[in-house]
Amino acid sequence: MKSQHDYNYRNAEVAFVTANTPLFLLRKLRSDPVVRAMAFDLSEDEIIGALRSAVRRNPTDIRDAVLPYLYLVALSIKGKVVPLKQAVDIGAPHAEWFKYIGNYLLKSFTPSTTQVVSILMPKVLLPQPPTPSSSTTTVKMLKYPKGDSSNAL
Amino acid sequence: MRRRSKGIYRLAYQMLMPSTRSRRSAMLALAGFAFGKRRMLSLILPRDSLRLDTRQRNHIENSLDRSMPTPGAVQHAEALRRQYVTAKHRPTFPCSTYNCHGLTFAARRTGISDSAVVQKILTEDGYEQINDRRSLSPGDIVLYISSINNDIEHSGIVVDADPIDPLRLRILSKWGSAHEVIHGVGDCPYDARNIMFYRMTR
Repeated sequence: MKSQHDYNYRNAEVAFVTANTPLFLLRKLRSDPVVRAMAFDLSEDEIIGALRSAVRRNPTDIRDAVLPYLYLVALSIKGKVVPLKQAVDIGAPHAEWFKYIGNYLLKSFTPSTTQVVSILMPKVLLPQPPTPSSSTTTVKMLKYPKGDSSNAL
Repeated sequence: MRRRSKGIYRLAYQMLMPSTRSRRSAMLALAGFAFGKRRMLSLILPRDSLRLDTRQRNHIENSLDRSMPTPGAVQHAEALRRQYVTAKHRPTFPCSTYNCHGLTFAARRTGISDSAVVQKILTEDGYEQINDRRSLSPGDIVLYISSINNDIEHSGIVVDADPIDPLRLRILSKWGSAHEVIHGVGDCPYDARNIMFYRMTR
């Protein structure tokens, strides 16, 4: 299992600093590959556990401030409504937009599943050098007009 | 008297402490010294809101966040100064007291973060949309509207406009909890594909 320290939160932090509205922050976090990776790597229970410990402390730096939003969006990417609702119900007294974003996510929720599909690599055909047998040249024999022997072999 | 001033120094020292709880209690106590308990609460609560109305006397929901910016936020704000080199970064500190909509619609007093509230201000204060960009002039306002969810994610005030050269358009805005910036219309961290201009004419 990856821990929260294994991720690079720079994009999320910049989004948090420049956010004027909660939906801007949500849009940025949804498109952040780190949040997607987190949703892929961690289970719902792990994310909720991390969220519980993140909302308990009063943020002293920007990472602490952005983490509750990050976990919430990661949960929404997972596509299951029950854990998302559970997360919204936890609440985050120090994160002003947590409830707004949580309710927005619940309202606009569409269930989805992530499936890993394994496919065979397609056969790669390398161009072959032309061989006499594959030649498609057709030879047409033309008859010269009668009496003209100048070009005769 | 001397004992009281010693207490004030101790509280001032506590305000510099990294622990937010001790800092907050020190702030409250200091305010108590200065203003008495009743006035103190309205002045010092870290998160609050102002009584602010539209011209039609309807309340403008707002959030006044007095908390100090975290060190990480200051660092990222500095990085924005280096990243957007053609913008003019005003000598203002990062703060959460007001945001872009607070600058545009509430004279830097508080933060407004709900698009519906911005829409209410536009309607009830009598803003008119400007369709012809050549008629823009300083004082008009610009809204950045997300093409994904129609969120009014940024706003600013036009400070320079040239009817002949639309590229000379300059906007004064505040970038979230970072500082104030004078920038080109597309030279900012917001989605500039869908922008609208408004003017208050009376």
